[in-house]
Amino acid sequence: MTELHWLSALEAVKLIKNKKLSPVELTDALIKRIDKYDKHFNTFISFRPEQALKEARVAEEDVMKGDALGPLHGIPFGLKDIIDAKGWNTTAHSALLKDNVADKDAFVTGKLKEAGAILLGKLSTHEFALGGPSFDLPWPPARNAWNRKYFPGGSSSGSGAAVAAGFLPLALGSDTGGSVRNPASMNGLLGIKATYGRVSRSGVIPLSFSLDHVGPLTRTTSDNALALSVISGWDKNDPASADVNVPNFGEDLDRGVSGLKIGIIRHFYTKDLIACDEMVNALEAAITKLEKSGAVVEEIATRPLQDFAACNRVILLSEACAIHKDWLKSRSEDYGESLLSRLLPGTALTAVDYVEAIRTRARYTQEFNEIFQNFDAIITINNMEAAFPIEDSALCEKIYPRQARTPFNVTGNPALAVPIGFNSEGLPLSMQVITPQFDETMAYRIAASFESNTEWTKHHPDLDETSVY
Amino acid sequence: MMEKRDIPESIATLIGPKKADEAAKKASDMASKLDRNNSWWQEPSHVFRAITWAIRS
Repeated sequence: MTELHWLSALEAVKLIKNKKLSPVELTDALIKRIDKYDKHFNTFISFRPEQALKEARVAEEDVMKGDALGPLHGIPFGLKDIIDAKGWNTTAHSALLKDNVADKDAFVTGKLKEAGAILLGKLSTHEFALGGPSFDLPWPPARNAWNRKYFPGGSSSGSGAAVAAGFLPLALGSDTGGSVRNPASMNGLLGIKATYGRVSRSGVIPLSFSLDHVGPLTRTTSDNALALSVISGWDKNDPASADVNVPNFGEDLDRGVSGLKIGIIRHFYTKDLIACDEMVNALEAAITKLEKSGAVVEEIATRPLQDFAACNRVILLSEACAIHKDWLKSRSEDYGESLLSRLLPGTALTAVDYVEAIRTRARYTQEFNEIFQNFDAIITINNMEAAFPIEDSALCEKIYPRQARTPFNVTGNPALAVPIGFNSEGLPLSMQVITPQFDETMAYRIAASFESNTEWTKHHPDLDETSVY
Repeated sequence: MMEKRDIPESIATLIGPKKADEAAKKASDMASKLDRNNSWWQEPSHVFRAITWAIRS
């Protein structure tokens, strides 16, 4: 049998329901692994092994009693530490909130618990999901599971590194300018930013309420589809929540891609920005693989990446400054340097800038809706490079913005990060699959077809090697 | 055309002139790069939606 820490959530839940694996055994195995290795990767901010084991024992009793079991019964999970869980601290990885205790579950936390999942811990993030990687905060930054010298992506850094390290099969992150898809990319995972409104953000500390999304990070496509099915749904406490049907997002995983029409946006990485050769080669190989599986591939053009980035930044920073305005005046010394330097420009933007950006956003969204009249999906690059050394702050400032994720926070389309291989240093590479509004099922269908024809999601880091500094 | 932006005085005083100047330059750059080719007419509300907007209990 696969080592317990590398079981997918679906594999583990099947074994649990068949009484071949106890939730206690699984939880205990993950706790031991976290105890042994997380000191090298800093993925957890809060970790409650005793509480998790207690809940696992209850889950075990439910199995033995023959009770009806949820789709994630007995599966440990983690939350980016901007997502509330009743009785747990929600720190946003910031000195400003280090003593903040949540008095109720976020909507998504409640959904995972209802499905039978067990909260094992709260995970590192960039400060308030914006400033990082930082070394001047109360907790150190998470490190890449494939090589701890490297950046694990952000801002859902701990979520990405913990899942890739085999500490958890599933974690939630948030994505405002790409913060689920970036750690998914740099840790070799699946990570989705679903349609804006698909997943409630109530109980999640906002960065930019009109761009914020919550999404799952997992090691397999089927786990990701299951997790999204569990956390989706209308919520009266999120004004942007969409009252739409929630399908089983995994229903088309075996349908293949034959006959699907897929548009490829190459100018994002060959003209607007120039991606490194290894990333481009891996992406082109992935496109060829999909073509050989029967997809009809056609290159398409949109406006340049820089237009989307400017729109995203003006909206994001205007809204973030509205949220942080009082603390900026009263506690600016408590922010880390990185967050402060990224946030401050927002205080100088004008009301006209913000309104113009919102109007521009509506126009860009319409442009993508028109493209999707003729295509089932779009594929493009995720990052222009693989992960970079985490302690090289100059390189970080240079490489961090070199990405193609912000367009889909602006337009609200589903965007799924999919692993496409490794570079010569053994660091993961990634592409994005983008689909029409509320058609996440199609993104998973394409990812599953690709996954079934490749071995990329079957590779795992050897932490005895990758934890060495 | 460069869209010159300034950090509010209340913030600039707290963070000092160097950081304020850097932030103002970044804001000016962002504002300049924003595509403003918009036509204007009566607009839909982008955040407020009457169906889902409610005072939280």
